[in-house]
Amino acid sequence: MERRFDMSDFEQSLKDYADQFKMMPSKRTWNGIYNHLHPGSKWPSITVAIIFILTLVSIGNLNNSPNRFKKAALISSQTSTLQSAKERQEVKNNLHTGKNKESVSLGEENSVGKTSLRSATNLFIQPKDANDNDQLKTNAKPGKNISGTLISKAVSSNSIPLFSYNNVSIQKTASENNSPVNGQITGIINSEENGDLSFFPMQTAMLTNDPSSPLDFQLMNGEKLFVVPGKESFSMELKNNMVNISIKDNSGLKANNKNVIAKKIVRKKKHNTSWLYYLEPTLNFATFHSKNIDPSSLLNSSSSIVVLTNQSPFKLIRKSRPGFEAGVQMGFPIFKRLKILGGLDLSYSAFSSISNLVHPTFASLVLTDNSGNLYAKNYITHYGNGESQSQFPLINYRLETGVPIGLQYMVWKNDKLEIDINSVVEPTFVLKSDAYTISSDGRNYVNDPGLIRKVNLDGKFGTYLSFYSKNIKWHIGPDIRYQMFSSYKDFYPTQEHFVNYGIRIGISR
Amino acid sequence: MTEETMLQGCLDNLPVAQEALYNRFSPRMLGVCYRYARNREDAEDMLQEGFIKVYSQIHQYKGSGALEGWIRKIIVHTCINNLKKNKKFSDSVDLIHASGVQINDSSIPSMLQAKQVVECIRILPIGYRTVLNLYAIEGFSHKEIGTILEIEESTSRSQYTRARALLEEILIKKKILQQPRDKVRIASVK
Repeated sequence: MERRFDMSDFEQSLKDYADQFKMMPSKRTWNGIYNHLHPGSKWPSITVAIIFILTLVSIGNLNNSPNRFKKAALISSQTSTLQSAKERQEVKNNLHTGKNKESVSLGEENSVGKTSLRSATNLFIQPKDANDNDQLKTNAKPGKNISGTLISKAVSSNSIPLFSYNNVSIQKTASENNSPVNGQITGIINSEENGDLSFFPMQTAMLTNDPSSPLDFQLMNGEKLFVVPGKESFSMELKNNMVNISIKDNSGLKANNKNVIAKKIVRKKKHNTSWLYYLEPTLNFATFHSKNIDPSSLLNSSSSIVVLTNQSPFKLIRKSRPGFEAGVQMGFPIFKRLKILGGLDLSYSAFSSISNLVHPTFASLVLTDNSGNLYAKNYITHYGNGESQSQFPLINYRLETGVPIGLQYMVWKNDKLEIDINSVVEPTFVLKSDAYTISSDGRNYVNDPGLIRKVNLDGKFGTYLSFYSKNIKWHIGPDIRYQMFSSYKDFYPTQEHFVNYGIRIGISR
Repeated sequence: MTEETMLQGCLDNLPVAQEALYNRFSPRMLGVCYRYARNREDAEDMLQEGFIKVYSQIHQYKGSGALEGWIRKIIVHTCINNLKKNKKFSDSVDLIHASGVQINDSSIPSMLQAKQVVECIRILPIGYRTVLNLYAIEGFSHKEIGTILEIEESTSRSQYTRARALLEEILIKKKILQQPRDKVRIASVK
């Protein structure tokens, strides 16, 4: 920069006084510079924040997973695992030599326990699904195999259970928890070459894919089922919340038709927290209300400059503008039809005021202080009130984030559709905004973002229709959002309230 | 801490030296930014951005000229770039005459003289204010201002003429200006 040497006295004086002027910056400024120069210090907080957010999202997804099953493990009072490869090999040999089959003459008796094996070993099956998960896939698709892992345990009993099934977990139908559950599953137990025992479901015409919580059944009196691999099949029939389990010989001969009654285990109802992600185009308006103030006291005061020329009636033109809202909403059921809602969203709202260019001129806003006294704030502006030609829009907008909290009531629901109504209140924080306000004489617009209130409270009400499509739940419906406090701080007498009309489109799983 | 020590520390990216440099020059530089910005928050944003550039370019300072002048140059350019980025200059409008202005009273709360003058400068529209700052205070020529602001040299001259006229009127009303317009000197008030 090259300094001129021909500065006039005025300019030199101006420069001297400008150079003398100093201001103390806030700590925020240095903190921003320091964090930029030394970014390592802020990473822990960012990392913790990211981990926290990911944890919340993971918890929500896990709680809302549709395919949870109660583990259909074979559990007796003495749960065991495979002790050694030797035991495993011995079991395998027993299976393939068929010695145990001869010994287990289940076809001749209705009760078990009267036969013995050379190897006093209890064999337990812990069914696993194709993904090696420990569960009985009762909604398995036809042809899908479920293989079991051979587990052996030495016992002193002379009973020879080849297949023990103590706890059965079955997915219920898409109905209320207390209504009767009906269905059937049948399968064959086979032994594999590696010694594993496999369960092949033969019939899966049982239950729907509704991701409801599973029902658990426990065999009464600790009954155990005993099935000869390859020769017998068993079936479980659910009827009126009771399970009938029968075993029959595959050859058609009536074998061990042991009907076992199992009762439903009443479990504590699990709450399904739902997560909804949505986007909402909106149309934004604003309502205005002004207090009547008498600025005459200001004109007589020697403490302020006020421009109040030709105060005549004026008409202002304001137009709506499109906006948007995006966010995530969590729903936690508290009653059968009622949920508590919480979430986080980001929204953009705007409207325009029609103005026109004028020569730069002084304009005043009459404001009130904490004591209710009037004072004037002056501006130089070149925005008129839109009365003349060459009009153009001045845009008042706000970009804000909020935390909606409220309630959702389920009005009606069937297998496919659901209608809810929501009502929330939302504290909001303005991230970025701009405001053009009309001067006190109504002739000009002045720009002063410092008038805008940073924290506000919005109320929202909406009605939504929900439906399923390919394992995704869609939500769509209209809502209205009203800003409860004025956009401006209390010392500005004009009250402005944003009103947004939108159509919410959301998905949840 | 001496200036040489500060410079060497900043080159070594030492936080202590960087903070010392910031504490020494930031008050005056914030005053510079305040003359360009719309409000204090914008001024602090410009200051922050400017000092980040200072630290990143500190290795380019060769010692020719005062360090404060070098820093001030970066700060001024940062302010200008910030204003250009926000398209503040599109708001500038030719002022044919200011006869439409009516001022009923001319008193403001008493302040330090320097702050009074700066506040009067800040009343001007952003386009006038920027040209006035660059020409009258920073010492750029109209040709240089035209290059910086991407306007014609003649536009810079006319903008400055109008800005000065408006500022003089404001200063007279504020009773800061004492002499006739052709021989103007800002009065010093003790």
